Amino acid sequence: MSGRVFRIDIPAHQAVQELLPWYASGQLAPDEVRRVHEHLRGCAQCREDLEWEHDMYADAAKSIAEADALPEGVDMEASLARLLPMLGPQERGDALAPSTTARLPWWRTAAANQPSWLGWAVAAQWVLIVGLVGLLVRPADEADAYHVLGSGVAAGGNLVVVFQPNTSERELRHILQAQNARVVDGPTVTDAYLINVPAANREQALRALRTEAAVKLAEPLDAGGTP
Amino acid sequence: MALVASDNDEVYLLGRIAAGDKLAFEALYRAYFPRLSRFVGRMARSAPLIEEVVNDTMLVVWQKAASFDGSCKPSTWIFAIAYRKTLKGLRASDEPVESDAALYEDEAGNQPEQAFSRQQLQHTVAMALERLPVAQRAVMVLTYYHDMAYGDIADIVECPLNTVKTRMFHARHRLKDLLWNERESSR
Repeated sequence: MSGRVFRIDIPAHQAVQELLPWYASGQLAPDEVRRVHEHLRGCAQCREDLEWEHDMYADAAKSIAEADALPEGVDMEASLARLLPMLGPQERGDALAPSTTARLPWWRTAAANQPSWLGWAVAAQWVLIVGLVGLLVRPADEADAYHVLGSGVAAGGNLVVVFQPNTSERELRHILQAQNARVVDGPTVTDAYLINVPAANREQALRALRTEAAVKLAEPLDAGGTP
Repeated sequence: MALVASDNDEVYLLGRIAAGDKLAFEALYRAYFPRLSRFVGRMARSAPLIEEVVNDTMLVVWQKAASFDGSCKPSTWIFAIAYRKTLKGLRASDEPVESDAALYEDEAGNQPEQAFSRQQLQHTVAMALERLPVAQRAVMVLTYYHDMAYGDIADIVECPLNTVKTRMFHARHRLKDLLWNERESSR
């Protein structure tokens, strides 16, 4: 026997072969490292090739050091001196990137972090934030005025009702609908509802409500004085 | 010599360059010149052409620094410009873009693999690299001589990830064959 390892999983071997250079330099993602590592344990050829990869990196590092980092005849200072006078105007805002971003359509470009429009977007965002904060800190009486405007006193509550604690929503709804009542506010901290019934039927509604077992309390809001 | 310590420093320099800061440009130029000239020098042979390509690259960096959007590393962005400028420079010059070795690109995978000592590699690998097709050579140089991950290389040479891996795989086999031939012919 020659000791040759017969591999069954050829695709896996091929995939690892393709990753070996970057495994050797530690440039792979953790899952790729794990895959290569597991394969190496059972594959003598890949282990041998990994040694070759290490040799290549060592050779590259050595050649860079020996060549003093510059190709023969190349002069950095002279090159820079030639270039500096050629530095003309600069372009602004074009999409330029090494690969796909250089050819992005406008709607993709707009989604990127382009300094050209990002500043304006941030400014607009602040204007919006300041406006919303202004609305929040506006005096409260302006908010109260909302209830009065348009519907007048009649639309405000003219009865206060407190239901029994075990009253179901369905039952509560039926009681209010029977009197053509609308909830204006509530429940308050005392479980009271401020309701509105048509002014002409208020007394009748009040009596009807007081007869309901589910109603614990029903009182006119304006302390009994009818208009 | 100004050294650029990290990607963040380079992003900062690009921001300064975008604002027209020539000192920042000089700092970035000095930081990148050795790297770029080594990279370009693996594909272009003459010193004047290497210097011209590097300067063309850095001129684009100066002109378009404002359009660097941070979607990749500064080094990936700059090397991608350099790769395009190199191909353009080779086409415009008398230097051959491809060597004859390119003709055998797809046959390399079937050759027997050979083991070499480190000493042999050091003496012959540079010569063997020159005989690889430019596309394979660029991937190999960026991998071994610039420690780049295959994702960054794909961005630089503008091809899919799998193409980079496959190109590298064939380049390695081809290089091994060339090294083996060098050894045999020197006996």
